[in-house]
Amino acid sequence: MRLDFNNCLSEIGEIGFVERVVSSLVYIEGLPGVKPQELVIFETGEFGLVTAISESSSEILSFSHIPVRVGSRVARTNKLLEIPIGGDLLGKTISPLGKSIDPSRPLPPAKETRPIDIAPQGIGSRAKISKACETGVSMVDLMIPLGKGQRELVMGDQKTGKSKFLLRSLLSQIKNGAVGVYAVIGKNQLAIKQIEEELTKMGILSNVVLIVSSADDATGMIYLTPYAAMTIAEYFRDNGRDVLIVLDDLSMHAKAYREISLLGKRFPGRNSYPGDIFYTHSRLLERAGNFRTSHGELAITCLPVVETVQGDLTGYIQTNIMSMTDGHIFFDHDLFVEGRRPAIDPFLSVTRVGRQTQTPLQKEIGRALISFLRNVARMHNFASFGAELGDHIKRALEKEVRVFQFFDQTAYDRVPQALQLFLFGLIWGDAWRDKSRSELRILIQKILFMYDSKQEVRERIDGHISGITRLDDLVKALQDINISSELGV
Amino acid sequence: MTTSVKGTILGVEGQVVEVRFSNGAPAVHDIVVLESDPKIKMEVFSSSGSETYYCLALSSAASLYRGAPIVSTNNPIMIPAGKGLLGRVIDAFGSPIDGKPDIQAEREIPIYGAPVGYRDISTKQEIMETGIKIVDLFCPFLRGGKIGLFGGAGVGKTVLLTELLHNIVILQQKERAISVFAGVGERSREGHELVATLEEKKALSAASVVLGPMGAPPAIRLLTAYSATAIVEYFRDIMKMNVLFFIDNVFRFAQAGNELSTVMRTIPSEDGYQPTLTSEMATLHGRLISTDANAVSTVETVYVPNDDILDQAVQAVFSHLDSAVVFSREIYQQHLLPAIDPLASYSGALSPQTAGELHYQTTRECQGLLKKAIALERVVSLVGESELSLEDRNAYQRAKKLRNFMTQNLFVLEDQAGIKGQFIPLATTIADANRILSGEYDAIPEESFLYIGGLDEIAKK
Amino acid sequence: MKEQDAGHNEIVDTIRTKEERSRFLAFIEELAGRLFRISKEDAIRIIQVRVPECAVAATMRAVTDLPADPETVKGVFEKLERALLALRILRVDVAISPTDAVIEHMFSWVRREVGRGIILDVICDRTVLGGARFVFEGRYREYTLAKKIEKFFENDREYISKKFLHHAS
Repeated sequence: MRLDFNNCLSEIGEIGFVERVVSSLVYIEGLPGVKPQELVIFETGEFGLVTAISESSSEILSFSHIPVRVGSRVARTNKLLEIPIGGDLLGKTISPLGKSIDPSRPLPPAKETRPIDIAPQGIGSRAKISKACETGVSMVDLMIPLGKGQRELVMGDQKTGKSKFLLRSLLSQIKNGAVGVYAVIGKNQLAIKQIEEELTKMGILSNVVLIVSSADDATGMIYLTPYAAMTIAEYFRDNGRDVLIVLDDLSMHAKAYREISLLGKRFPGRNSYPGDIFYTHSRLLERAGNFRTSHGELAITCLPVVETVQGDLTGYIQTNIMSMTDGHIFFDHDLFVEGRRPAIDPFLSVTRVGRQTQTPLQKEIGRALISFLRNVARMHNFASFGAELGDHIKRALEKEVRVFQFFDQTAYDRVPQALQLFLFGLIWGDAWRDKSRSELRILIQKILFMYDSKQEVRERIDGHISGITRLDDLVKALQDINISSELGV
Repeated sequence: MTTSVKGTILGVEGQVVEVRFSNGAPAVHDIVVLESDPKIKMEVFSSSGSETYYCLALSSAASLYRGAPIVSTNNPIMIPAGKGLLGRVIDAFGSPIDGKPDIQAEREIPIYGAPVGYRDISTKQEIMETGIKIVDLFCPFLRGGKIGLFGGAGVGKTVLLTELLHNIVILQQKERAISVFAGVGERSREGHELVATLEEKKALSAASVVLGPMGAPPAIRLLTAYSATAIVEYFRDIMKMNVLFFIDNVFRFAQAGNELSTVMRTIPSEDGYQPTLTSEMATLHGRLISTDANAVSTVETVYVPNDDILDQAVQAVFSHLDSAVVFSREIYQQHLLPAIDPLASYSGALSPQTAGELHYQTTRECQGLLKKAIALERVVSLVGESELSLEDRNAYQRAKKLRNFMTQNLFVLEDQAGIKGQFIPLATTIADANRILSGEYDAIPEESFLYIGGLDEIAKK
Repeated sequence: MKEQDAGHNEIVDTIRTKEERSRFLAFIEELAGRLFRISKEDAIRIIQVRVPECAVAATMRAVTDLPADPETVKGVFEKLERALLALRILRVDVAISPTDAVIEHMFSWVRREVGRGIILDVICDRTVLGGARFVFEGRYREYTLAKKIEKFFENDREYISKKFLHHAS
């Protein structure tokens, strides 16, 4: 049945009239056989979702950009809210209802549609998270590792580098063969375009589906965005691909839902959020995970984003989502201002299931790094007393500088795993003790560039790493190598 | 011959269905079904008017419509009960979710019940060793009692619950009890991992698992708590066994009730919760009491939303507990795991009669020492340790060592941390705490006390 | 009392359209406002001006039978108003401007085939072309010529467009 107003009207034979309009909520009378969660169509051709039915009227969440007029007509579609899906979605930017937002890149008609809001799968189809999910960001892969199928919250104040991290994770995963799904929730049009451009620059747009809603779209559309995105992720999983899905950001989504609930006269709860704000996000995030499918074990790894204000970790939405995800990465404003890149706080960040996917060497490195950084942090407190610093403290502080230079990925997007280990081995030992900050930076960049561009260099470096399972062995093996000869320069 | 009570659907919102019954009144908790499809079930929850009622949709609400005729089954939700529940994983309705066939039931039981009768309540008090130093010393578990694990997001509640389950159920098979595990509103992944762990350690055959994860609608999450409680009662009263009951997370039970009451437009009470919150908590906990005949030992995690321990749902749980283990985000961020606050946690078992004079005195002294150290902390941060009097310096340093000693490697984190877990007997913990208090270890640096088992692991100078 | 009831039922039965009902309700409102100060003669004059043609005779009869006390009169009017508001509306969209004869024709058919308690809301909508569109309590049926023509072209759109293109070239 074609989804246009007149068609629906005559096929189903029921009509409704708009009685009241309260922002994005429309109250209608009529449509006697209307069902909960049904999709309805206004005479303008715009859609709405039935959210509540009472004896005398029905409440509809409108997806229409322009306010619906009182007295206008509504028809039933007898369908649940579904989104058209297919492989053609890759490389496209669509609205949560499945239309391409760029008229110059239209979508071919889809062969399949799927409902947007479905129940998450039970434990029967789940599998333990066992494969690593490389982000290409050394600090994360070594200290706060992620596994495929993990839900990891990315949070921090605005402009602390979260977007860069998300894009890099997508890059790494796509290079690993996964599909990317990026949900942009209620951001302004410029931000949406910039994300698209970044993905194009990285050369991965053709492997990503962008589902977007802008800040001036109907609140109902903003609300739908992450659910539509998750449905698309599930489609690709069911067709044999791993997926990395980014939800940017859920604080905006929570506010949109709050607006809808308050307008619908639901009693406000904590911070005026509705009582079911938890369920709104939990049923979304629970659809990600590691699954047993007919194509083998496949994962939907999810990176939801929450913006904090003044670094407040204990906010309501933040703690809600922390209690759903399998860990969180915290971007700290102060660290960003100090110049640290990425501005991730390794002590406040948590990964609950990532470490089990690491090799023994990686686990050892992770432990060594975290305990080293903790001790050095204590030394900093000490050092600010102005007392004479012992030799071992001086050396530790120098090492810390090397470590942060190693982590600093401002100039390059992706550090493959073998290279992470190689570079770590060099900076952890005394091999680069006397290099200055800028010397280190240039050296690391050179190595990265050569690794990327020259096969022999890659093979040589990989050769140094292979077979090593202990940190001591790694450091020893790399202690005396001559970098210039390694790079062939 | 009772005629069926019939009615029609007036409206639907989320999972709440408003229904008018014309030829009689259904009882609260009765199941009503669609006349056209008896598989579509709802449960009568409360009145909404003189002839109208609010019902909870127990399956997807998508097939309900205005005017649909419905009929009451005159029965509440019943689940299968019996030995067939052991080793199985079920949902709130008793349907298997472990891929195996239906439960072989000895009988069907309603999921709602009355609290234990006054006469039958047991007042026996006995400590159950957990092997976790900080818990055993500061907030020991009472056999047949209730222990609550309180904490915000990501501070280690579920980890500790799993560790307790491991130490009590898996390590100490001598406990000779059946376990029931209720996953109310928690992650599917955790439910899945728990079942896998129980299976792996061969402990599933003495356990029954009921799961209603956070992705399930509120009615399901609410009912999961009731179904699990009914199973505990059955094991206790009919099969006459001691039961270990683990519920993760009791806060989600209150939250589910809140979600439903919002839709029914009940005027919210403090913190926006349903006005019936306190009585709902009381009824649930009242059924989980030990009788003279059999003990029910309950471990419940309580999520603290927004890190706000004064939240009404959190507060509503406290009065039902014998012991409270309170987690602290500050302590977590200092990386002292398990991140438990030894001064905020408490236990009703810490009396000379139940715990014994030695345990009781040791704990009191330790708490006093830790409290003193907090007071001294301020002075230290201003002028440094060296400015303290000798006595105070000793107290301050011993307190730090004691605090560090309370950290422990957990079995359930072996996979993540790569370090083996440890079970430390209560007697060792008490003895070692006293040795620190006495000054025997004054010469040892405080870092040596981190993440060890007993003090004998430190090579004494 | 029975007489009064019969009287007001008689009035309600004469109302045929939504528009007639609105006018009658306006009349009740006006009369109710002047209940205490009006004479029978004035009342009759207002009836002749305000009340729709079809209901005039019945209304006259009812008014002359009314007792003098204002309380009873008020009660009668309230009952009348409720009965009118309880009437259910069948909306009919037709292509022509309905004359009184057409309305009478439609109304008698509904009264005969369906029963009492239903009045019409007849709308003139040229786009219908012929036939009619019906809406009753949320139910919608279209038996218009416009729809039939649309369907005709829709099914044969490809064939027709090819045919015409062929001809054009």
